[in-house]
Amino acid sequence: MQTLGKLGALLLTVWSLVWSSGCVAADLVAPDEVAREIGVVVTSTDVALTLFDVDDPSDVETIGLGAGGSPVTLAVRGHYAAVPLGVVPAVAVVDLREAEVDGTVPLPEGSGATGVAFANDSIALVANPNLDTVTPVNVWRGTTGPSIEVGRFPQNVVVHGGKAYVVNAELENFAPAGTSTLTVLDASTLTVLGTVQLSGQNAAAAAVGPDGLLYVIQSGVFGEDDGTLSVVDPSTDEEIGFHQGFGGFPGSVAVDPEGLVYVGGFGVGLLVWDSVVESFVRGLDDPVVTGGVRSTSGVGVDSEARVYALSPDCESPAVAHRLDDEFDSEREITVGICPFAIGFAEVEEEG
Amino acid sequence: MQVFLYLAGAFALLITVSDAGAQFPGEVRANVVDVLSGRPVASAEVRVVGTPMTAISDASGALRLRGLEPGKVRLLVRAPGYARLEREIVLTNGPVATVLLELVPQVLEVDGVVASVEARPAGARTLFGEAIRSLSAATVGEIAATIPGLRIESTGRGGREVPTIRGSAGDAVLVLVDGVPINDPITGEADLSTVPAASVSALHVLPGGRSARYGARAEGGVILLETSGGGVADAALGLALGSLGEKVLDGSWRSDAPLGSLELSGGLRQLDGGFDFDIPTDAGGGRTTRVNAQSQTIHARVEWAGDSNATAFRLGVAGERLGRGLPGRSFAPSRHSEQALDRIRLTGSLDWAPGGSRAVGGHGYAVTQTMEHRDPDPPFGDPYDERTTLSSVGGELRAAWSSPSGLRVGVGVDAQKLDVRSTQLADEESPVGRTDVGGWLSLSTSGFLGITLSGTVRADRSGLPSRSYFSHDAGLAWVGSSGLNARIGHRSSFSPPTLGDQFFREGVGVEPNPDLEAERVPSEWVVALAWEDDLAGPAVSVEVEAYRGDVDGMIVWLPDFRFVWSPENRDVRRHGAEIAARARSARGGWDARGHVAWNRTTYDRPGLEDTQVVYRPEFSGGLVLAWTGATWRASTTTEVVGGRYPVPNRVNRLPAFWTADASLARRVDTRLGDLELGLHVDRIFDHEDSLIFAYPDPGRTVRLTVRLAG
Repeated sequence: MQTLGKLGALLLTVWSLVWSSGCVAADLVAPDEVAREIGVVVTSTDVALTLFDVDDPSDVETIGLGAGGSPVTLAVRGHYAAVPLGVVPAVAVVDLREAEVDGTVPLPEGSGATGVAFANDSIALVANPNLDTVTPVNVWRGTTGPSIEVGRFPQNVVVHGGKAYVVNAELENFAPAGTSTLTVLDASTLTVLGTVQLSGQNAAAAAVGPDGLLYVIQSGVFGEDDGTLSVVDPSTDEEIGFHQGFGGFPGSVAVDPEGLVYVGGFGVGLLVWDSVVESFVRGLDDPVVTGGVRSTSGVGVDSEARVYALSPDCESPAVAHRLDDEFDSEREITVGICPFAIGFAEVEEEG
Repeated sequence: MQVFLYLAGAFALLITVSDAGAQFPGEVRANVVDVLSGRPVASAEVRVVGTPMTAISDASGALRLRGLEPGKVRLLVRAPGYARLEREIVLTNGPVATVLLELVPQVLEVDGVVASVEARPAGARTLFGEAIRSLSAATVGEIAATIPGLRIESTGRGGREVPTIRGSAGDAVLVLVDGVPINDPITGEADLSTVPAASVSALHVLPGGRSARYGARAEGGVILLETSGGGVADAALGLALGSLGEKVLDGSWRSDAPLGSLELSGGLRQLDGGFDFDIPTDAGGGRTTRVNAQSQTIHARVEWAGDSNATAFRLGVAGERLGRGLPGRSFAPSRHSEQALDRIRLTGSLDWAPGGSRAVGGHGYAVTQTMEHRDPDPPFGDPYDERTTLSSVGGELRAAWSSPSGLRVGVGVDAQKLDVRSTQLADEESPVGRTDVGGWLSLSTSGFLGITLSGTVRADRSGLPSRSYFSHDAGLAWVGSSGLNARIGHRSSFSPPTLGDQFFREGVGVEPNPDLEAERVPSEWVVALAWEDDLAGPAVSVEVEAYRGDVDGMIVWLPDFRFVWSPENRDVRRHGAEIAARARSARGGWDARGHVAWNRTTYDRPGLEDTQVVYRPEFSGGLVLAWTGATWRASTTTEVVGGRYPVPNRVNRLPAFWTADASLARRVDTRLGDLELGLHVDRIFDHEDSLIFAYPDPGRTVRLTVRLAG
């Protein structure tokens, strides 16, 4: 009996190895497959994703995420995208390789699902601003784990260095009730490690720079020109820098490999801030204006360090502008209606 | 539940009761004519009061009613644009009675002289009492949904029912109940669920731009609801019990009164509304329970009406009280949201045709209404407690003259004064007042080769914003001798911004738009071809109608580049066609009518050309099959709602769905009168789809009805 047991364990081990190697293989590029980078733009009015090949942006595909919702954020990892659906308490899991919705995972009622980041290949952390919690979502299984209490009105999540930073706007009735905070979670155990107190109001988004620092953009009060940028050191989980002058309601941020911080805002256009010298390259008096409108709803940087700025047309198909070194639009990519966020992923296809 | 079971047992018992003995039947042959011109009136409904028997006059105004019991018979005659007429005749065993029924025009022609063409059964735009009753509908929305080109935006059983016509917005359909507009002054939309189905005796749908006759908001079409003169019986009492905790009690009583008759009616309907349903997979799936879906409506009406010496008058007062929960979308349920409505309408009309070729008339109304919305704990945003009070007075004076040569002239003026005080508006302390006036002139001439030319022009002066609008309606109609008729029309219409569009209370992320303009349909073409005939007994009719009328500046709420929402004017292209067919046999008692509607309402914006506007199905259709025997009545209603987009892009398309309802009823003579017991099943195949995403439907529901009429 013991022999049979050992044989069984051996077979199980072998099978596990074979199975796991197969899983890994699936995420690697097979000899007959080629990887290509795609841009993924989430558009809110038509509740959709627009996919385009960064090397051939004329190749555009649209994926509907569902009949309802107000998605404004996304996270990509491998060939998956996770898109919180806003007023619909759910997160859409999209297979970017197949260009189809893999499933829609329900979140707690009244979630207001906004803000997401992958903690690992299978777990996405989704912020629930109306519930002041974050819910872990297994995108492979379509299940959720117990929600974790964070600060008030979490709007975004960034994962870096084994930790997840939940961006808390600290709003009550949609108005700032105090300065912003970051709730720090252990990305493996999902336990709360602490809170980072920020100096600005209404934190909206964050990005990690090449220096390993966290850049948090804060929208301020709606109607006031008081957008700010906080810099957080993940090694100490403390705010080490606070910069003003980011204008009216900035809401998106991305950092390129050179340390240029790109800040998009509805009332400011695209601002460029040099994190090395801590000064504006293109400030409020000289913002990057794409599409003739001084407004940028989202910004992203692809693996080739090319910058993309989203024009917030909310009633017609909008445009993602790819910028050249002079921050002029070198390429216009038609996307869905009311784009809010852009991400990039490598997907494989048969060569 | 016990009552429900008792009712079911009673129904089972009654279907075994033997038929009452019948005498040798009598027959009425009638000709319906316009008292002014002497011309035949087509599409008039003649009902034998106290029975379900009806007949519709043909193009020559003729009709026959067979199988009548000997004795005194009271006929109730109604036609669009004419005052109601009642005549009593005496039938003896066997012989045929011939009667001339002369109708007094109300100068309220549905569409000038073209009215008779539009209201033909082939178009199925008009439903009278019996056709309405045969549907066994619980709400006016269910009744209206059987009309080609009309769509009901509903938020679930017991919820709002906003009609839209041919791709219009909800605030571009004018709904008049006994001549009184019920469109909400804040949203501009008319909620048909606020009008109890049991109170409606006739429904006329006038698709397309009708501002030339009805003024503001009659851009997509007009719905005329009549609550007077159902003519069912001298007295009636109805009871219904059904799924979702539905309980209905209604009654009416009519008596002779000086110069005419007095009619009282009233009723209440209560719905618990809760049910289990599947959350859409797009919203994460799962199953949950609908809560806060209860509703209660109470209605009452008193009317004094009469007709004599070519004079018809009507004076009535009616009231509705509605209270209901607003359960919201399935993914964001509102457990505490409530709505309450109280409305009282005072109406009166007088039409006089003093002989010869003249007719004058008018109607007036006064309305007071209070609407409340509250939610102490909404799923999103702040708690709210909104209250809107409205008072309005209005009326119309009109006159018509016709010459022996066939020329007919109509003229009228109308006015409405509206005062609104609402916490939803920017200045909730100060009432918003507006006075709108309009005047119209119509000309028509007919006679040559069966051709009628008609034209109406109208000028409107809107009080808020203070602007003038001009509308027209020109038409050519041809009525052939072989049952074929055709018409072509060209119209313009408008729908002004609502008070909500102009004066809503500004908040985070929303801004008013002081530059908002009225929606306009400057050029709408309509072409229709109809044919009707008796095919060895059954009357068969087919009508095809096509239209094109782009909307300039449709008012839609849009976010700007800062994601601040405001009402904006945006152009929309619109065209389509409807095919309606009907076959009915008075002898066999069966009636079949069906329609298919095709509508293209698309954005006129770069990148969205050919994209259908949200929740406008490109195709829809319906089929009503009804049979009425001596004691049994059965009907089925099938509705098809085509695929549609919930977002303004060609993604996330919702699939087409269909529903089927069925009714079976039996009438039994008793000492107290006719007792009718009915069984009605909504969504007999348990389909749970709905037009709008995440407003769930309970699927199959059952209702048992008992009605005693004497």
